[in-house]
Amino acid sequence: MAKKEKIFWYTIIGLFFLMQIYPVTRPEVIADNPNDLLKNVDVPENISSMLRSACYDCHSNETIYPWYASIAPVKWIVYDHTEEGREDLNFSEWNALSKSDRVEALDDIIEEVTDGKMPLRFYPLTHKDAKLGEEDRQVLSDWAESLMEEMF
Amino acid sequence: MKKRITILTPFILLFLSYFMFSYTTETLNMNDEVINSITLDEIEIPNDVQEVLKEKCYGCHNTESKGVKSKKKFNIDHLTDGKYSKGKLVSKLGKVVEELEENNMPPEKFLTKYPDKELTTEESKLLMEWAKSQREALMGE
Repeated sequence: MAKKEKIFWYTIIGLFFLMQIYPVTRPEVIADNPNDLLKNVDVPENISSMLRSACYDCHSNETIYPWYASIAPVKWIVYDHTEEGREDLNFSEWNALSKSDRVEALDDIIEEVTDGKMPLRFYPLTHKDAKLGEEDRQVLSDWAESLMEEMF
Repeated sequence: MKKRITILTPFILLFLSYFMFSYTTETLNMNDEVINSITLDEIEIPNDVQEVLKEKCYGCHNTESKGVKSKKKFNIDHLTDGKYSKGKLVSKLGKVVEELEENNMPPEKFLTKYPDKELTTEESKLLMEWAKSQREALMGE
């Protein structure tokens, strides 16, 4: 190996290790959430399993981190998305939301799920169960709509 | 490499101009007759609020609009044609308040082309107060 090439690879490896040291906080996993949607609202089985597999990793406190989520640079993206997802809508805090916040959240769910904006496009690549077909999206959005109606 | 960029430039410009002018078509769709005096049991829109909605918002937020996103997010026609359920109405009114509080609407990009569509502080306040009061009435608070 030429000397220049060696230096190149050592630099790459060095940077990779430096990346691991860079401190980032991992959004905490909380298993017991008394305000969780699924604990307080009677959600049909097919819907709750869809929510769990396609939404709950980012939109609840019960995130399941895959092994590669502890390796930079993937972990930066995962932690960032999880934090942002919880901020926008956290199903674990559902019952603590005001009525108008819940209605707006349901409206957002209808919009984002039918538009195909959620789950984020790359997420199903690593989470097969998160892949929602046309029909799944309709079912999920109909459920959100009916829950919205129930509230009035 | 340099040559390739030169060849691509007109295409890139064409591509960009499409987005710049897509606003124009939306605004031309404004229909003056659609909003008349409205008072449904669900929602009440006083004349001054109607005036602002019509002048500053309706151009994009109507059923005929070419802006798919803008009418999907909030369609002023649906406030009165019964297509928004009570829940939807509450949600949309809440979003009106939120967007106005954050000064997101009308979009900045749109305003550079149509500066006269900018909401004055009074108009923005009027819309927010109207949306808040209607939302509270709908929620029975």
